Amino acid sequence: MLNLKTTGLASLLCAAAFTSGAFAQDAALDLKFAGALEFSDTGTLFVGDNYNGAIYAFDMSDGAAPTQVALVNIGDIDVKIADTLGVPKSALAINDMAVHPITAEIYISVSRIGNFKSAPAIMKVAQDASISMLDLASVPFEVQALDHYPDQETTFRPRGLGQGEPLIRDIAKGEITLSSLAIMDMEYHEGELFVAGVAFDNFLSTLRRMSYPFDGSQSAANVEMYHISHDQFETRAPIRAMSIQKVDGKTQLVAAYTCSPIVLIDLEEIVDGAKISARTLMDYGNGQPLDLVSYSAQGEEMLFLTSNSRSPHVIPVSSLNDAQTYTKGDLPEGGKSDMMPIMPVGDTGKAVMFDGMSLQIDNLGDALFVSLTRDMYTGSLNMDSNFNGFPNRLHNLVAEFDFPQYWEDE
Amino acid sequence: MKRTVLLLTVCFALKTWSAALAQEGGLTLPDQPDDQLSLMLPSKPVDSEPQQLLQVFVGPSKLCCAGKIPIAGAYHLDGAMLIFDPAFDFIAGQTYTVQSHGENAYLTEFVIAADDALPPPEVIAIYPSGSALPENTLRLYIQFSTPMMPHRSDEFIRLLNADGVADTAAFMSFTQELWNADRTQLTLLMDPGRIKRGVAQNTELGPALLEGGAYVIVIDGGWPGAIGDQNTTRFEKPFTVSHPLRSLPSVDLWDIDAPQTASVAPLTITFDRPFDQQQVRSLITVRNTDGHPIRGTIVLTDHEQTWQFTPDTPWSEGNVQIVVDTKLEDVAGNNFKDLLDHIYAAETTAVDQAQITIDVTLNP
Repeated sequence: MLNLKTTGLASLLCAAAFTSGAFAQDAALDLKFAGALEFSDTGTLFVGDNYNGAIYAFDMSDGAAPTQVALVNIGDIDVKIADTLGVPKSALAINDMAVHPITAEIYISVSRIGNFKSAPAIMKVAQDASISMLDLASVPFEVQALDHYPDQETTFRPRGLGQGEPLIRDIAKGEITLSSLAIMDMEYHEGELFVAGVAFDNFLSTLRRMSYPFDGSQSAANVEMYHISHDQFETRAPIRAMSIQKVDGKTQLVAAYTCSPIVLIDLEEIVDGAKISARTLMDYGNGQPLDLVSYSAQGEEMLFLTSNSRSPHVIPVSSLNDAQTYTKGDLPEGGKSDMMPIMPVGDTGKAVMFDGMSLQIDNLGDALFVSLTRDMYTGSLNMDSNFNGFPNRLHNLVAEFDFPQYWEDE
Repeated sequence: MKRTVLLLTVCFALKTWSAALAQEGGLTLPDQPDDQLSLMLPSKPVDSEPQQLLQVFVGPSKLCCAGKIPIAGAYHLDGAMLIFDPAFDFIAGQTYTVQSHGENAYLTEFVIAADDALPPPEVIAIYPSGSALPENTLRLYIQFSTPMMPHRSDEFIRLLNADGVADTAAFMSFTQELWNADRTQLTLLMDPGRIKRGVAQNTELGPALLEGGAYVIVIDGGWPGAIGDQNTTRFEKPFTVSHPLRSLPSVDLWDIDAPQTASVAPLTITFDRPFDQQQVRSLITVRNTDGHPIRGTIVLTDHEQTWQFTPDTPWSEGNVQIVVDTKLEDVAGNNFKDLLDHIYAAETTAVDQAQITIDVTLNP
């Protein structure tokens, strides 16, 4: 039996991991929104704040690796996060998820609405599936404000499809601010952070690069790409998800856009003030990409691309070598929808099964994906760990194997 | 502001010493959202970590606490007093359950009284605020006193005609409702298909609003807030329908009343029509002759037809500029470049620049 008073100090140290009244009020850390997340190789957590137009880097490098990475499965994780933050599920929004490269802890950025305020929080899911709130106020951090951060007033321009009457969503989009796309995805690569999003007063699709540790300097380059299914060059809609890979012997950014080109950009092209022309390799079909995760399977490097509208797509990185590129005039003129015989164009990947839709996905160790998955039938949001070689919940389906007679006959 | 609870606890399982503890020591519950909780600990040693002795959960005691995660926060010891400081403020109106003394669970419910911080959910305003709305009004703003539960607007908002008959196709139904960040303002769009002449819904159903008619927008009672268990009371906005706005806005139709220089008197614009109450607060700015924005406060009166700008500091120059973003829309969704409804050929007064600058000479 321990005496409480003597254990008090240890308990306080222990409890420090949970503290945070100071979080929202600490003048030194003025995080307003916890959006895109990215880890450096050594465990620095980058957090994109689209409200402040800044990237925060938290030093989380002091954790130890588990002896073996465990599967983490948590049902109704949104309810459990809301419980931890003292609010009902309806007052929670989940923004991004990233796995610590060393500790295999899973970090989730959220917004908590309560008493008229939206507050950011970052949740930690440990290897034992325990959920806690990260005390950001106790973590050393650096901040880098974005140059050319756009205004927060301008909203999307509603449009109709061709000459047709406007659709409902065309109007709805007119109420959303463009600056909510300021930071879409971040990739850390060899001492530099690459950031996709929109920038400048005219909200151009922009790639930024900045060295880390931050030295105050950053480069911002506009990206133009030929969009196969739209049959036009596009300069505004930002990259949704990206990954840095060796393609054609060069270090290149593989980037996924909405509806749904995959393009290549040589990292050497990303210099301040540049107008980059990305090389379009494929259009695998309409939808909005969510995450692009690189991993190894079947002995080769793969990309796992999730979408809000399609099954995940698995693309071998080697298939991008010597790939044909497409530009205006290479294909029959006009827009191209999924059903047209020419579609998909240049697709070297395969659509794979995934039970439910993945809202967020990342690598968990070498063999697993961890996903926040929306269940089709219950609508619940679950954290699932799937083996990346065959990343699905096949056992949830009803098939021949679920009949007891099948096993009797065997 | 704290109240000490001595005997309000419900004992589920207890050892003798812990029962005595709860009654002697007492638990102090929060009264205000930013209050802490505290628990007086027994003088004899206890074999638990502080986190095990005092935990707070979201929800009522009948749903507590197996499998639930306590809310995050810091623990401090002040003598024999264990203090829990939650990571975020408690939310007024939300039921919480305190579990004190670890495995021998005493469950105590508390609610921060809603009248202390969170008023009951109610509609506080609907824009356009006038009692006569143009026939082709596009966008309505419904402002609530508290954050609201989303995805319920279809159930609670109705447009009734003079006979009390509801028009179930009047508003656009979105899969994603248009809330502001704290969910206190809902943007409601009249179905543009009903407004735009010649398109299918307009031909089949006719416009939702007809000039000369009388209507009521009803927000029914019972719409729950995002937090807590309080609901709205019924709110009605009766209005009549006036002539549709079918011409482009033009600054030539505005009356501008210049204040006296060196004063803090307001610069006033009287519009020829009501403008979108949200856009008009951000898309009209006042600048000095160098183009630098002048800081001040905007007040809208006369049902969004009068715009008044009061500078923070006295007007320092004899001339200022009013800069109007041509994206500014009237309540029917017409901006300076384009009408929402294109049935008429483009008017010659349409402008193609992004901003219109009006030079104003202040009175000496």
